[in-house]
Amino acid sequence: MRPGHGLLFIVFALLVTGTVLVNSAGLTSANGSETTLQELLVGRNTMFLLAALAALWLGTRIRVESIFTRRGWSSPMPWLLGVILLGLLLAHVPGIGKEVNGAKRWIALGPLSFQPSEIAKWGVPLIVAWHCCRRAGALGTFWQGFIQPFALVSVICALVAVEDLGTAVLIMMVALAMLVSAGVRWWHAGLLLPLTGAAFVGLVVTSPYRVNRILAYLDPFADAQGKGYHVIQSMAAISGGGLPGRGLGNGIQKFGYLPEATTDFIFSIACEELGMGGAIGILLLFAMLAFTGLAITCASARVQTPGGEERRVPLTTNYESLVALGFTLTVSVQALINVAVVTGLAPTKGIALPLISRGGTGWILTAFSLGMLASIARVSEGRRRALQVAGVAQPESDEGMPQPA
Amino acid sequence: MMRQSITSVSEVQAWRTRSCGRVLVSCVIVALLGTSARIAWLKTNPNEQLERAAGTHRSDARELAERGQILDRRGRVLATSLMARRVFVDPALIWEHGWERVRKAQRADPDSQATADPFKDISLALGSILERRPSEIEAELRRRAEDRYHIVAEGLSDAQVAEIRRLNLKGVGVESYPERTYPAGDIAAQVVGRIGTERKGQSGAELAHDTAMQGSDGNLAFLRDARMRPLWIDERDYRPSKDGEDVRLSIDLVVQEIAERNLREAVKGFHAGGGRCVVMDVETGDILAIADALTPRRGWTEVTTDPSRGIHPSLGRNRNVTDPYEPGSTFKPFVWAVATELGKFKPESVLPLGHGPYRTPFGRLITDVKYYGPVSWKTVLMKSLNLGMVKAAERMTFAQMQDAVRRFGFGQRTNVGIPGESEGRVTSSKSWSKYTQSSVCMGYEISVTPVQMVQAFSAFCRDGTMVPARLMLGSAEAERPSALAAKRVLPEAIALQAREAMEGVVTEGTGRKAQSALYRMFGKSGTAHLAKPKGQGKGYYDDRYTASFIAGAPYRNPRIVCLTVIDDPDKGKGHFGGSIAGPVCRDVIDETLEYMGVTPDQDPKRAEQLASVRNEPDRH
Repeated sequence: MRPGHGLLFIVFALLVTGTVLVNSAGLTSANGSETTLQELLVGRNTMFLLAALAALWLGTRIRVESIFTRRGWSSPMPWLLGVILLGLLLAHVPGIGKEVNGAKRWIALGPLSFQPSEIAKWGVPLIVAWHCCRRAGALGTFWQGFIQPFALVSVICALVAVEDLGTAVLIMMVALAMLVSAGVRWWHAGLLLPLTGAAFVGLVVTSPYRVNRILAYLDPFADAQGKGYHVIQSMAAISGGGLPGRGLGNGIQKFGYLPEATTDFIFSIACEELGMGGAIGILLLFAMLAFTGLAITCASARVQTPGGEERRVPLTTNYESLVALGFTLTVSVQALINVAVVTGLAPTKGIALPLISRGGTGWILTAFSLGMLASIARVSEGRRRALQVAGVAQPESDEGMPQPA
Repeated sequence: MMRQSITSVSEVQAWRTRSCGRVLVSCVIVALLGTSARIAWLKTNPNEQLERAAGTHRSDARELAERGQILDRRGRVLATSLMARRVFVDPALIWEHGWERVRKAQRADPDSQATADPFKDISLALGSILERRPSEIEAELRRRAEDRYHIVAEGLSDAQVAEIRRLNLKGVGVESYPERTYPAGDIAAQVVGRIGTERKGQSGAELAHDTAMQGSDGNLAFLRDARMRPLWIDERDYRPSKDGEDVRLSIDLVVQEIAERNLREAVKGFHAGGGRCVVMDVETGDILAIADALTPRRGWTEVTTDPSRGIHPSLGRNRNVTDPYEPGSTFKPFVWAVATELGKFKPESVLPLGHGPYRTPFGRLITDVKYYGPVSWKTVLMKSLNLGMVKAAERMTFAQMQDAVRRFGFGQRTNVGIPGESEGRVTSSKSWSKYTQSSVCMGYEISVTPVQMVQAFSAFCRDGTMVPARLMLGSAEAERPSALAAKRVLPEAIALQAREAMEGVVTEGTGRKAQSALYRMFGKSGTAHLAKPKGQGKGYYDDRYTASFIAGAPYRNPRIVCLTVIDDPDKGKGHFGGSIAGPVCRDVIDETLEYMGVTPDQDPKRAEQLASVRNEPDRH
């Protein structure tokens, strides 16, 4: 199976798992509410699943390299940047911005609402990769290579961080990882770490709820009914049911004990209902997703040079590689942060488990982006076939990890 | 590999991206899979601290066991439990929630004047539904502001419950509770007793049979959601309740009413401190009525008081078993019968009595109301002559007198089933003296309870066998074993002779006022001086009495025995047992026997004569 196909299968599996879990965690015991299978099958979550699958397919139709190669006004880069910045600003405009749970993260366009930070999350890797390939030669320089992209990402992150620190941290981590991978000097990036740290601390200290979250992380039991409530209930859910779990649909914590059971804390519900097996299954799917993404990033083929020498050539362009790495890191790091939070290993942040946590636009954008990742795999597979037809490539494919030349 | 030196920037970037990517993604994968260790740890190490902090997800619902009923001998309900509803509040929650609402309103509109007091709001809402003054409820809430549970009103109507539920106030709830009701009201209140707030018997049969009637509450444990709504129930988590057993008393509500009414009228009529009346079925020993009236009088220093009655009639002690009294002349038949059995005298033997007071060999002066000179032994009982009784006592040994007291059950508890029973007071054989001997034969220096008296008197009704009194019947099949426990205390002939003499009491002796136009009865009057209570000096009051009368009927085939005691009557209105307690006995016996369907046996001629009975002074 090609990495692209594997990826599509994993995304599909995660989305279906997510739909089932969201439906289970969304059960309520409110009087008179009866849920039938039929209602679930034609319900909101199924609709979003179908929309996400459509977005996945749509993503595979995009030639990622063309995002890079187009120039001038037809280049999507300025537009993308504009949409991200505008969206983040609009979220604070009354009438357009929508407040959910006390955070202005949403933009409402008629019946549709989405989080601009979600667009930033997937847009920033495209922008950073674009910069890295455009300025490939100058990446080693401090000003042009590092400060310029870093400043841009910082602005976006600052706008995101006002309402959603978790996502801002995620975006910044991925952007830095991409910059360093593309050729920015380690010490350049390292130089700014204290600054980033100071900004993080500043943001934490200025808003009391973030302080509370940190305190809750350090000792959740100090205030079990207040600051530590979320993480305690989450750990209780994971612990509940023991290794075999309570069985799908039989969880207790979702009935009002664990807040955000369908979104941020859905993994706890999965652990409670599906037990150790279910938890490992979901983690394995994310690990496989990350592995597959890495395989797409690193796709190469062995070719015979005219001199009879054998060498590896990359099957992806550098832009494709960087985008693939960025997307892979975004989805897997987000999953890691979420799992770490719900298991009490990291302080509570409002960050969802990608493709699992309920969230229409989240699913759709993630699926769309991973569709683009699959598109990169498809394109590189086409190149491999072309090389084989030309007779230079080895017939047996080797999509595994190419050794450094 | 040397070619690397001439590779392009692009190739370097491709190489670097790949190697960095591999390191970074591998780290993420390792970390992701590493979290499963944490999950496994959480799942396999039950953490007490976590469990405690997460709180319980189970609730218990108590299924109240129904307390057993108390029934009379014919199954009439004397006490039963009904489910009623009451409204309770959680003052602390009301306060908390009320202010939260106010704060919210102020946040939405900083100029909002929403400063209404939560307690005031709730009190106004509840007051109009419960028809209670809101200020009163508010004061209660304020007083108990820290508490989590306070009952505002009980016994709600359906409409009130619906109204309260409709308002859906936070911190206000309606719950069911079993309410004990006593359909017969105050009739037999003391026998039935009552229960306290904790559903525990406090007095009477409610206390005596508390354990049997309680049953055991059931419990239902269930899993609930965070808002206390039940989710599901495990089969093993349900323990059904076990209802308490019914208790059937020997009391007949109708006879009890008869006794209480007649007693009440007599006590009122003679301006007495109190009165007692016991009716017993002599076949079974069943107590059909056990009435006790105590009416504190203005301007009197009462000898007997019972403050608990002031709280509730049912809380009073039942003096028919708790308060012994000196029976006076009503005790004479027992001594008379034993002396006859011992052959000291025959009924027709003539005793050489003088025409004045008699001084005993040890110097005690014995008096009578009237002196007849030499009379028969039967007349001694009929006219209740102290001189004659003392003569007989002098011929008996101490042991014989003590046996006479013992064999009729005096000085021993009847265990009739009423809490706090007294055994009476009988002088111990160690301190028994000649003085005691001459007192006891007249019913002094001995205290008995009314229930002991009717039980003992059953021997005359049953031709010499005595049946134990009982108040509780239990199940229907166990209705008659009491009669089997009857024991012979007198030879049949002696019992009949005593009965004959006692009919004389009613027809020509001290109890003529007790004569009935319906039934021939036999009985004995008693008028004992009231002993001074502790702190009032030694001895007896000169002008305060205990007047009593005990009688059985019908004469040929006795069915019931009735004892009436009038405590401390107003001497200005009468004090002889025959004239004030006797008529009560007569009326109670008449009404009871009629109710029981016993054919009247009074000689019709005699019935006519009864109107013209001479009003001779009575004896004591």
